[in-house]
Amino acid sequence: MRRIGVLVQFEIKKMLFSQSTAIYTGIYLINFIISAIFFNIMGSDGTVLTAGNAQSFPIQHLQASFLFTGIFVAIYVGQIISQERAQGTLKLILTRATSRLEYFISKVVSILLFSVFVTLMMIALGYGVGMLFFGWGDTLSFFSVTTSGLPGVGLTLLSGLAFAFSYFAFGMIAMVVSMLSSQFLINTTMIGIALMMGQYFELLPSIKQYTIFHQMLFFHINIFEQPFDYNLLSFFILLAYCAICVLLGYQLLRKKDLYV
Amino acid sequence: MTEKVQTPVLELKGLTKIIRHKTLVNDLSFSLNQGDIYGFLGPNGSGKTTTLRMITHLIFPTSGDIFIHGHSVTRDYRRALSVVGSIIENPSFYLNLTAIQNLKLSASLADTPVGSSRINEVLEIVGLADAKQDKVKTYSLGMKQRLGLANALLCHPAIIILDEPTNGVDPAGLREMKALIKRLAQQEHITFLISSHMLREMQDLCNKVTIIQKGKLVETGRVHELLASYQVDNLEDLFFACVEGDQL
Repeated sequence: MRRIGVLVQFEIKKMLFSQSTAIYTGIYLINFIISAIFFNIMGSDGTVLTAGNAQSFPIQHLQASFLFTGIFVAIYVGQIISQERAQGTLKLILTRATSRLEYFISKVVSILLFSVFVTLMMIALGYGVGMLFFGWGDTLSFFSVTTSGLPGVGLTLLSGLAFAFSYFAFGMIAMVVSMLSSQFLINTTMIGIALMMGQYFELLPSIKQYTIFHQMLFFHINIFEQPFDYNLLSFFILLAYCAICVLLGYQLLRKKDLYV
Repeated sequence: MTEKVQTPVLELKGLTKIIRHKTLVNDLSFSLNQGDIYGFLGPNGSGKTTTLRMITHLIFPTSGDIFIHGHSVTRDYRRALSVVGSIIENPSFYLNLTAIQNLKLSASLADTPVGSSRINEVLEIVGLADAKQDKVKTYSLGMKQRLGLANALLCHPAIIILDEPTNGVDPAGLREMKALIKRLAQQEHITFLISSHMLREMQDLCNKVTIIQKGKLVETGRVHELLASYQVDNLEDLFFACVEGDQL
């Protein structure tokens, strides 16, 4: 447990102070500012926003960040799995008698924390840009939900958690891909292409709920819009993705010869 | 008077590694005693690095086992590796972190966590005290090798495994490193297993050698005894006498 804690702390520090995190922040910020400017010029026809106020701003942008966030998660996973192997830093950890299970758990926890961190960062930036352009506003408007004040913030955070969970499940898939190949660039490109193609599963109503792409796009919305049974199934689908990938990922690492 | 039987610090028993029907290491057995400096020699592709990776549990043997202070690496690697320091193939560190940050991470993962004073001490020993706050990406290859040695020394190891430790080290650095290894072996009774192609340096440094070829043990023993037995003057001639037909 101690080693897992040390490794997770180390990953958190790297994540918070990395150049990549600064770049992601910049990309989200620019994206949000463009969205706010377009809303001011063209109204809701020009952007994903349906209401121009700070309390609606972050939650309305979660879905729109599907591609960016998916790629950021894939890059992060690639950095902590493939690059660590390619650069040999893995042996700095494993030759200190850290077990492969401890190492693996630390990576899974780090991916979970990254998914939550990116989501919270987006929400914070969304509130900031929303305040800057529109002010707080009277009501939060998100699909069929209308609320305001603290309940609205709570609702945004709940939606954010659902969003982070689906991206964590996606991160677990990216982790398995990274464990199969240490080609960071190829892995990330493949995952990027999969994200773009995966949206077309929406054209297949009978299977779309079972795809990770659908969950990444809609789980954080459906928790307010769909019946409980539907959301429970979605939750278990995401959980199944996580469980399968965790088991598969660990099996791949456990007996793998590491030529680092 | 009874002779004291020394438990080997490291013992390889029938170590074999087969990948896709190709035998990389073939029934390799030898043992290392405390305070010895062993040269681990062999031509390119003879299985040296594969053997060192198996010792450090990075790859798994197909058969056979490795014992460090009597603990099996395959069955109890935690205890076995707790007394091992190593540089395998090349020293790898997080380039955006400073030397001290890298060593702090390494120290905090040790069985018994190591304090800042020991980190500073090993940096002093390898001559990197002045550069400890510099990011590793600014280091030369020679400095990275020295940092690798500092990391290997960190947890008071019984054995240090060095794979080509002299790569990128300048002549002055090489002399310092040899003196340091000799001092650590003599004063702190640390056993060294060193793989290198620099046979002259190895002759200066090692009191015992193990030579392998195509994954098999060819010769092992005290350097001076082997030189006498093969009637040669230096390790280079001994090496080529043992691995005739193969290139270094």
